[in-house]
Amino acid sequence: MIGIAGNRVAILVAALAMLALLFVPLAKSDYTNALFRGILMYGAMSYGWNVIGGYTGYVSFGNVVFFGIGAYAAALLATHGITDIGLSIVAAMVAAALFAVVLGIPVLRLQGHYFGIATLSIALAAQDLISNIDAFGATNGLSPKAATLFGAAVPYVVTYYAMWVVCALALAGTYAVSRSRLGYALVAIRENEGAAAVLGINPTKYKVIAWAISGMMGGGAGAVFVYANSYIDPATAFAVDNNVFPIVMALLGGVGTVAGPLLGAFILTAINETLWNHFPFIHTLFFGAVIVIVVLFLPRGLLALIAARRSWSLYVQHLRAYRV
Amino acid sequence: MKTRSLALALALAFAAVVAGPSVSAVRAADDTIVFGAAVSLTGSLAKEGHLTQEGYDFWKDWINAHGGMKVAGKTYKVDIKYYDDESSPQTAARLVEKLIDQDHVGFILGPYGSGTTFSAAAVAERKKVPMVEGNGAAERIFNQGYRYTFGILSPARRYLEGIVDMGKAQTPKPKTLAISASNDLFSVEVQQGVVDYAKAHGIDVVYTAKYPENSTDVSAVISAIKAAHPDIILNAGHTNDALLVHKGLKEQNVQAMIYGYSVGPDTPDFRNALGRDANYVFGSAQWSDAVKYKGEKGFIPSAPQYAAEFQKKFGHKPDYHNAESTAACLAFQYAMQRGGSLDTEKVRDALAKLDVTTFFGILKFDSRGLNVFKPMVVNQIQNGELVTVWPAGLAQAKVAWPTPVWAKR
Repeated sequence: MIGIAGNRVAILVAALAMLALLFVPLAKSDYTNALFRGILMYGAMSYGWNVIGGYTGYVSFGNVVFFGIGAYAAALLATHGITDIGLSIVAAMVAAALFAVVLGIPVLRLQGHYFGIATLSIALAAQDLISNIDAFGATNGLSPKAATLFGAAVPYVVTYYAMWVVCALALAGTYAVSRSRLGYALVAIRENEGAAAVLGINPTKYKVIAWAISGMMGGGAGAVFVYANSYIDPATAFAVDNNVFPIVMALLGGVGTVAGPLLGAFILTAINETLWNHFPFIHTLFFGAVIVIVVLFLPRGLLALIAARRSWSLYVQHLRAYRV
Repeated sequence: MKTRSLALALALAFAAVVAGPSVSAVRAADDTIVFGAAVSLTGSLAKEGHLTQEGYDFWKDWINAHGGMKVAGKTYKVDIKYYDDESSPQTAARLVEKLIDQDHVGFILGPYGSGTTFSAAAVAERKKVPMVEGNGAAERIFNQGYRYTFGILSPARRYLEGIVDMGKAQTPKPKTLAISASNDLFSVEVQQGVVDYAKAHGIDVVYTAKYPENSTDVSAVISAIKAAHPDIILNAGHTNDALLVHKGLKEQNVQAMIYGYSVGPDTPDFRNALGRDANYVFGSAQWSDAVKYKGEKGFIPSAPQYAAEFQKKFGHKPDYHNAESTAACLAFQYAMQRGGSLDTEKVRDALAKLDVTTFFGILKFDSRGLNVFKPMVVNQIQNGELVTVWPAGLAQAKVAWPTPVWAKR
């Protein structure tokens, strides 16, 4: 096999795709930028989910909380006059990682469904909490002015490049994790936490580290989103879409792989965009059907399907393994 | 081999994204003015989103059926390109970007709701494309220094002022007020506005509270209101809030002189769901089909006439969501006709200078782009019918007063 990073060729293609994405703004269309910025944003968030949900096997239903915290960290800095987008990203990542550590120490002791439910309620609670804090703009939200970089005003397209950087960091971070002792420790925890502990891996410590990394990826995306959208309120920061899409994208691409989340973000965004272009009234219905099909027939994602090409028995094995 | 299939998959995804639909962005060139709108056709605001779309469509079809719209000596048909913003501000922003960039739409009609309108306004501002909105009343949208967003609504802060004024004109005079609010951008502004107004007009505010948006149980709020014994009970929220609060007040048998809601009594759903309990309830509204404005030439001049034609087309009476959406289109229409140009910048300038009376009321904007010149009306449900009772000059009927006990309504 090829280790826990996944198919090497797929990683190479993902890296090349990232390089190609650098040239999107040459089309000089804000809409195209917004579309691909969405792919990069969901890509980064999907990488974030993948570290904890994919590699570590702790299925989180509340990772949107990191996106929201990152967004609010950046927006709060902006209300205090700090609009440097680089600084905002770093601050957002730090804030999200801190939150993950503080929360992870109790929550990551839960396992399976209990962990999933706890994370879901954290996301809901965070939304309600921020809705009631006036310093965060409560439900009125916050609307930062345009971004700057090193003290100079920058054109709007910088939000695209900033999102690219966040997604590239998430991809590179995932690759680094998958090649490191940390990555193997996480996979060991996923496969058998008890056995991992016997081997001398401190599960709580590694899980908290994984969640902090996960948080950084989502938080960075949130910081850039604030400047791309010029407005953030709790309903947007903790939107259900932003919670569910990254999970489905990782599932579609390939859970616990380096290329999967980006591939998933690409394809799901393309499907979503095409559907609402052609079926403006019932696109959500079709989109829901796509998600059901992914979960039913591609339990290990497209990368596994591609690997299993030529071999129906392998594909059927995958299906059987995940049938309830 | 694997590389090939992966590359193929990626290429397909790209193609699907980039190709999109083949929308011909018809513009002034072939005599059609195209407007763009991202409205909520699905999601939590879908009901109001559909009302918005009906209001826009009514105007579009009326103009086209009456030979089109004359601007600077030339006659144009009008068309509206719609997308579904899924009731999400994030999606609304992206769609407005798409309308302007991909579909080359030069004029934006606003979405439904303050949150979606806020993020759409940010895009319109960045792209320097004028947007007229009739469905986002939060004043905050207009405090950003935006130049390209115009709101035809009376602002949120003024929503419930009319009910306070109306109450003060009755005998016996109500002296105390309680107000609960859904914790959302619009409702919180409504609440702040009426609290300030009541205090300034000598009414004692004995209870204020916010509860989470989309709550399904407000019984704790109701108990607290009951304990405060207010003469006026108000709620700032949307239709579901009004239903929830009013049912709760009945369950706990809370008696007051005035029950007033920022949104709700105006919709048939409210009356159908509550039956006799809906009687005597007050609702504030941007518009009612009884108001007596005389509109200028170019569109249906009076509210009753608008209501009749609307009913014929859609099979139901228009509520104010319909009317305010139609009015947003009218702002564009008069601005284009008076400015004598379809240039986006000139249309913006004409909007800023606009001063016109329509079936909906006056359309005129302050320097922030907000229509502070139009008063709200107060409706009351009397024997299952919605009638306009305030301000006196626009009223259809007298206020039914005082409100009897629950069993006798």
